[in-house]
Amino acid sequence: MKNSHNKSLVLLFLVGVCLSISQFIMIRDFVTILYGEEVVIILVTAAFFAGLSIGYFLSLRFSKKFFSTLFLCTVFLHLTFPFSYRILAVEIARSDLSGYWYLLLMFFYALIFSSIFATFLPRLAGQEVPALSPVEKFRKLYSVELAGFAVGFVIVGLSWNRGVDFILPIYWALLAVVVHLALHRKWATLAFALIALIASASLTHWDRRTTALLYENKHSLDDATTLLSINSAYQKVEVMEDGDGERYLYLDGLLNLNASDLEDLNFYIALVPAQLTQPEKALIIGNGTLSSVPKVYPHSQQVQSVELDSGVLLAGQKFFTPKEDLSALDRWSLTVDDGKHFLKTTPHKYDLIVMDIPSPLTIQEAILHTVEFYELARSAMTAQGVIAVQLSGPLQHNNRTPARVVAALSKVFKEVMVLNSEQADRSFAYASNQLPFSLQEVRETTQEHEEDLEIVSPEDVPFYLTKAMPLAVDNLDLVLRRGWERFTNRYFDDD
Amino acid sequence: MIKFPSYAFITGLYFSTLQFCFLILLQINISSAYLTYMIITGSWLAGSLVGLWMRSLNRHLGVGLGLFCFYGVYALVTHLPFSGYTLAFSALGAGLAGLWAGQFFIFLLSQYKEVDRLFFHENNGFLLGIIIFFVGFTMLGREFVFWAPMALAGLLLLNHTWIKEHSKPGQ
Repeated sequence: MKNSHNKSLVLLFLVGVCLSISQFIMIRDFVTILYGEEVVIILVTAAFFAGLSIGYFLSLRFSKKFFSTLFLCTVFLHLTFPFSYRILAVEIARSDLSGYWYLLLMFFYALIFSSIFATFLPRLAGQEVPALSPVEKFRKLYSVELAGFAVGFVIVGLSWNRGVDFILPIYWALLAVVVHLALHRKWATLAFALIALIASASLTHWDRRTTALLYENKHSLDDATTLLSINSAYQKVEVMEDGDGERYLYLDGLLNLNASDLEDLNFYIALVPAQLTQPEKALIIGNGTLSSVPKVYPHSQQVQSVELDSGVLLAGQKFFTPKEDLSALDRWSLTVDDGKHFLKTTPHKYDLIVMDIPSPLTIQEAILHTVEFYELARSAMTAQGVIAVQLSGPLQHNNRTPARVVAALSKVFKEVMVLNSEQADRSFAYASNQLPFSLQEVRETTQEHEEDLEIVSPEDVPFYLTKAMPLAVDNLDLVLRRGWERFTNRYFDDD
Repeated sequence: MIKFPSYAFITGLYFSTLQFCFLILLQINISSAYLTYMIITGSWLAGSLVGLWMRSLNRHLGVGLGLFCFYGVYALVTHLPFSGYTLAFSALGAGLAGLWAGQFFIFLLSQYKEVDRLFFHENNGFLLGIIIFFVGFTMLGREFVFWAPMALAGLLLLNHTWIKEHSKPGQ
């Protein structure tokens, strides 16, 4: 009996490890499939927890025999990760089915990912162990499950900046032991281990192929090739190439940039303000591809880049800005840190801050577009310092993202100039307490690049903002509203 | 038996709200780096593990300790965000708040004996807490972070009082 109790402890420990890893795999992969706005992240996380609830609810309602059969079927489905759900998502996209099918897919997989693990604790806690009271037994069982969860957390940490081909074989190996301890059927363990071994051998190929299929069918990327697919500490980082050789950077399934856009983006956000301000010290926040650095560098005495995500840096140096292009830049330095933290702790004052960060679709990204953040930036700027921000869309007279970001800038800085670039398909803002350049100088600098560029002078900017509420830490409703709008338009808009 | 699900549910709601409030506090005031997430989650997990083995932590003390630590960390990160001790104290705070997350299961299990139902209701509360935190923080910001843990602790206290009232013999 004691031996059986010890086996239960080992089993629950491994279940804890697997639960931790499966939570990571499911949330990252489904967020990427459905595109990573905060609304989607919450939805997928909620689906995972709903799966746990269903597991707890059903755990004692099945006979041992039925439970064993169900567990066996489910656990073998884990060997189809991540291909099966990606292929199904591809088929939903190909067949142009309603968005409800994606939700159905997500909730179905939540059952496979999490419900099955949730059934173990209640079942094992219900087994008789004569020497222990029910509470003592539970205490031990739950402790080992929590310890396993913590170990899984460490394994997930080891998988940063690697593909699923690192973590899935570990996960399958642990699952093979779980199968053995839970079912005591040698043939099942052997079959599971054998399939896992075969699947592991071709994992990299299938991971890249199914990723490419997703981008071809869900993102309409022609002849997509996966150049990179890794999980960073913060998001899934993917670099895709289409049939024309154009490269795209996706973060959690959201297009961050493509190589052509990058030229326009860097021109307006980095080159123009650097050329006009000739900064002694320039700071670039974000810009994981580091592609802004060579634009700012010739005009600055010192350039500092700050990027939080080393996974994006890896993608950038491998596919967008080769290391060789940067190795000769001896007045440039790179710090891996959160922009907020860097600004709060830097002793330096900057003449130019380039904010090259994604649109405010998650809470963390939105915080970097708020009044509070711009106040922080201002505190690290010289009197005539300029902050350049990309506005994720054209500035219009409404309460949408570009207007709200400009409203936040206007609350902090005395002068805000906006450039509406049709070519870049978005606006850019230059803000300062005293802009060191005029509208005419901006016009002269940009004329050759884009003749019809519309420039909104600091005097005219307020007319665009009468309906706009400045983004602030206490007012991030945009993340919810915009995220929900994008999500429903993408999956539930029939037009 | 209707009383126990509500208590487990509200406790799950309280746990997830408190955990996310801890996390966002540090992310707003110190850093959004992964270390912040690791510190809060790891400390909470360690606290839960210790809490499981504690012999004397009643529910009022457990919830009260969580609140005390949360508002202590709130004051600390608001006023001294970059002291060398802030992250360490925040980790300690999250760990101490996590004690009740472990002891709670022992406390309820010794009375109700149904592991599956206990986890089911607690997890449902946790799930709702994730959604409420997201909506609450995006709409109300720091006001939500300040008031939500207190309001939920109050709700737990009310629920407890109600349970006690309705558990009196003869009722």
